[in-house]
Amino acid sequence: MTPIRAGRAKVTAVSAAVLDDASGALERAVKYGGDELPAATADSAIAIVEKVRQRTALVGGHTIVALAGATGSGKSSLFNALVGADVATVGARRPTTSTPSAAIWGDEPAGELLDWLGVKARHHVQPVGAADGRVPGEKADENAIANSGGPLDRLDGLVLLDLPDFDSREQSNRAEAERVLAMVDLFVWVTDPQKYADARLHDDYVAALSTHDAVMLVVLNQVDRLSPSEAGELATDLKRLLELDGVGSTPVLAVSAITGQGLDVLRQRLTNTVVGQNAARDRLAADLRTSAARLRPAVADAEPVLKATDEGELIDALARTAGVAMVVDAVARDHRMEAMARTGWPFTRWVQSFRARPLRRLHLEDTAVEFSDGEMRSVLGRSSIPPPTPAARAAVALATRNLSGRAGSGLPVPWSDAIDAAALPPGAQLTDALDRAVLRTPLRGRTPIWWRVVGVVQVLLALAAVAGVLWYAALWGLGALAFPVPEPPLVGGFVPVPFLLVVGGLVLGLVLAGLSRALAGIGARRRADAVDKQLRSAIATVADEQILAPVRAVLERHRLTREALDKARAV
Amino acid sequence: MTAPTHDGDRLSAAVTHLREVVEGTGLPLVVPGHEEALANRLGLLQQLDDYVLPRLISIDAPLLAVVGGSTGAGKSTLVNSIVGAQISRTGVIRPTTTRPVLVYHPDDEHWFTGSRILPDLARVSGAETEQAQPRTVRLARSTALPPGMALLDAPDIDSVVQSNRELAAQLLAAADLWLFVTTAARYADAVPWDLLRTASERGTAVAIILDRVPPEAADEIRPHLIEMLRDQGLSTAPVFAIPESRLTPEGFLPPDALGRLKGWLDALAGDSRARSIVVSQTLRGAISSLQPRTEALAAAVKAQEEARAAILDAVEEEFARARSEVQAGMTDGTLLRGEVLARWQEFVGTGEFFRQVETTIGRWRDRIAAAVKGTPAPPATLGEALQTGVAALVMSHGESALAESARDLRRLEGGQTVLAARPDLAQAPSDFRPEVDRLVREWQGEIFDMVRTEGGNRRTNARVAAYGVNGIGLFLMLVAFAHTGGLTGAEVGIAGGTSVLAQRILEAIFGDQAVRDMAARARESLLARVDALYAVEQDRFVAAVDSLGAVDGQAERLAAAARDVGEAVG
Repeated sequence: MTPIRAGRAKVTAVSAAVLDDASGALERAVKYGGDELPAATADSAIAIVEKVRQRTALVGGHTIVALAGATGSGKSSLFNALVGADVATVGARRPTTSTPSAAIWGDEPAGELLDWLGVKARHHVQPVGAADGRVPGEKADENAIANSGGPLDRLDGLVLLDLPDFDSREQSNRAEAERVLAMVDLFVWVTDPQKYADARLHDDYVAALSTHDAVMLVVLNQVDRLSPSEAGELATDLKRLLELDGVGSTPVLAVSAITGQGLDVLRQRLTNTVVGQNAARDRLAADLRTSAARLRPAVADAEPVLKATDEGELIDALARTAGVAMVVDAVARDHRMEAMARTGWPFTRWVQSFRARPLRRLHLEDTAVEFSDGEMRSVLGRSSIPPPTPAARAAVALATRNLSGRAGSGLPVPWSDAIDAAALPPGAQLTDALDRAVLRTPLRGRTPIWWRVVGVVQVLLALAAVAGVLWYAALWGLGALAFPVPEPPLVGGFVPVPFLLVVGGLVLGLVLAGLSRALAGIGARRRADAVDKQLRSAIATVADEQILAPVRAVLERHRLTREALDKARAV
Repeated sequence: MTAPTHDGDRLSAAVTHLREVVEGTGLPLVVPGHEEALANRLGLLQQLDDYVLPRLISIDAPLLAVVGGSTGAGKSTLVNSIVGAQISRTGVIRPTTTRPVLVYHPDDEHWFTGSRILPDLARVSGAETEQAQPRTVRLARSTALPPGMALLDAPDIDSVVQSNRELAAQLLAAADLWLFVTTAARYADAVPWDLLRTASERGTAVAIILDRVPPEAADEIRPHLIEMLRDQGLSTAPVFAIPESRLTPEGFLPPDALGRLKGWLDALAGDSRARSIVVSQTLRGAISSLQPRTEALAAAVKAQEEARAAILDAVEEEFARARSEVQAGMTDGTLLRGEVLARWQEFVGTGEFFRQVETTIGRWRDRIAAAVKGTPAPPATLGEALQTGVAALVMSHGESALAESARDLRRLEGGQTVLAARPDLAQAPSDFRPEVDRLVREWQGEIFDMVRTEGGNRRTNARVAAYGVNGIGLFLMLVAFAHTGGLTGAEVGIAGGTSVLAQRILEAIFGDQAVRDMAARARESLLARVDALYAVEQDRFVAAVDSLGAVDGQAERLAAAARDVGEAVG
């Protein structure tokens, strides 16, 4: 690990625009996700978005570096060694530090930043030269660098924080440390040979922040207490533990605040970070990444696709509820009756008019097609299709549940609940919508031409029969009054014309009526099929509006949330 | 071993009973606080097995001092230095000690080789090996230790190795005396103080060893630590400060650094009265801690019972709703609409025609019916429509109840555990549909039987024969679904219109009262069958919950057992 190497193991320059994008994506994800995201996680995501906004709004190229660690690991000693002055209190009584203090390098005003951080104890580091030699036991080459306009120059813009411990009995220390840790740009975990394997450090902090490995340094302090071989062994073991934490690429620096060993390397690292000016954005990016990753399990990897068969089942059930079969049946019967009234045998046709028309019974007589809701409800009221049977209603409930079950399959529980809720509209509303769909569907088609033709022919045939009868009556009357009876003309020299008129008119009329009846049956079936198709498509529209659209809206919201989270996660 | 007193007998019997009850306690459902409850249960069992029971049985066994503390505090170095031999491995790599080492005087060997204490840890003796052997304790004899006292070098309480932490907690719970090792850098750490608080609450005897004290800081740290101990209620605990010093070439602490501690330990081992005071203090503390801990466990069991009851109640409610919906659907006449109405009208010709029919019903009726549509008996389609209607009613409400119950399981606390154990509950069983069809068929069969029995006498037999048993049966079903009345307005027109004729026919055959009875019986029979079917489905849920282990009455048994222990202590 040479000081020449770049400050961070992972060089990922996050531009301000990318950071802004990701922050916007996370905000959108929370907005789209709404109540379906766990509230606490969503709130913390919003807090992070807010933090990104605040931090990026703060002007100046400051880099906030925090020395964090357990009590007694020597954070304050290290802080003093880096600052070159006894700023922080060093003591044997644990815990020593209970409030954070800051050291600022360079002339750029950092007051606003420190106010944001809530750090009251501030120390401005003297320019190069004055601080030299204050660090006890500093090595010769370190001095050389410093003297040649070295690292302290380039530390301009560094804000170094000495944090309270996070493992002592003082809960307030831990809370304060965590509050400030949430805002810093670079974490320097300070540990020591006694405490380097503590669960609190590894489990609660390093592993929990493993996505922040780009803005993390681990410093093993107090190596002066070990022999060089022990120090090497220990550093290797610490490296192994860090790998288990998921931050294997994080550099481990062995230093001693007392002897100054390794401080040059640490200072070089800090210099690289400050000069690079990326730490702030890297840290915020890592925050966004973590937050998005934490929210990510609340959405599934993909949305289930609603298939046509899913809708088919629902439309079948809705059609049953809407009484489509009954309406279609009525249409067919109506068609047959109408046909018979028009083309039936004129001598018995009148009977038809006494029979109730099926469509009228259902209040579906009028072929009205378009009218506004208000008109329809106030003027025409509802159709008289009997309300659905409980079985039909339950079938709709079941079909809806199946549909929402499939739509929600594989989604986390809050989402599938949301889909269930979206799929179940209030019952009355659905019934109304179905009724309207039926009312709006034209049930009567155009009157077929052949009805008229046959009707005219039937009238002619009937007239012919009547004419024949009248002819015979006239002949009989003439005979009775002893007038000479004229011979009726013969057809084919054998059949008298009036006979032909009577018999032909009657027989042909009956045959034609029978034929028309058969044709009307075919026509009725066709008409019924057409109406069935129309009604089903009208019901499909209702299903789409009332059930599928809300379900799709939830799925769409899920998709947007997922995509926004993935985007925020990829920063 | 002295003969146990009568009180001692009673106490150990009560504690043994408590142990059995605690072991028999199941915490199957994952509800909030579940983890803590499991840990509490395990901790109770372990302390009973490792410490309380063995100590009650043999009060004279050597005092077991457990050396515990943070990683890197120098526990192993301390034990090695006291014993004067390299018994426990030391080093800079944390955590160093992963396997506890039990050191005792050779004369005390018989106390420790068996499974008297720490029965779930395997005993290993001989040289220390490199490979990790979880859940073992290494035995070592040492004449440097006085008889009557054993030292146990425990793993750390706070390193990243979780198994170490758990084992350390178990070992500390088995101690007569805690030798709590901390350092100048660690003495204010939160984790050890959490343990010390537990020790203080349980009245465990504790001695604090403050290791690695820089000589210049000794005057500052020691008073601070003593002050902290006083705040914690451990003011009687002796504090031994060991200055940070260079180890001897063998890796031991220099004798003068250890002097006070060693002297104290020797004195304690040599004075049987002092020893028994320490032992009885810790034992009394442990036993009196049993009651609150058992009560906490009982509360957790209560929570389990409540979660279980909530799940069962929710399922019960879903099926009860399904039942009442089926009942409502059967009796409000709506079953007779739609399909059934259409088929009925088909059967009797136009509705208008028969609506005018008055009371006189004769043989010619069926002839007209036959003449109108050319179908002699009620057509199969009417029966089918009725059958389909009833089946759909029963099935859809049943499936609704199943689906809603599964949703309740997903929603309710602990329900996920049930679903995880029985994932098939999430869906209606594949044989539900055929079961419903079978139910309706059987019900129809019963109706036909009823018609046959009722129509058994000669006078009615001929009339029944005119329509056929099946036809009359269908009429009866129609009447059954419309008979209760409660129909209003337009509904009478439809449902009433359908059934009025059927009822007239039936009344003409069987008589007024008989028809009412038969209709009521038909309805009751169908409802009973639906109840039975739904009960089977509901039982699947109940069985799934029960299969996780019944918890009924456990809370009371726990409380009673804890009370017994309290009374035995006196």
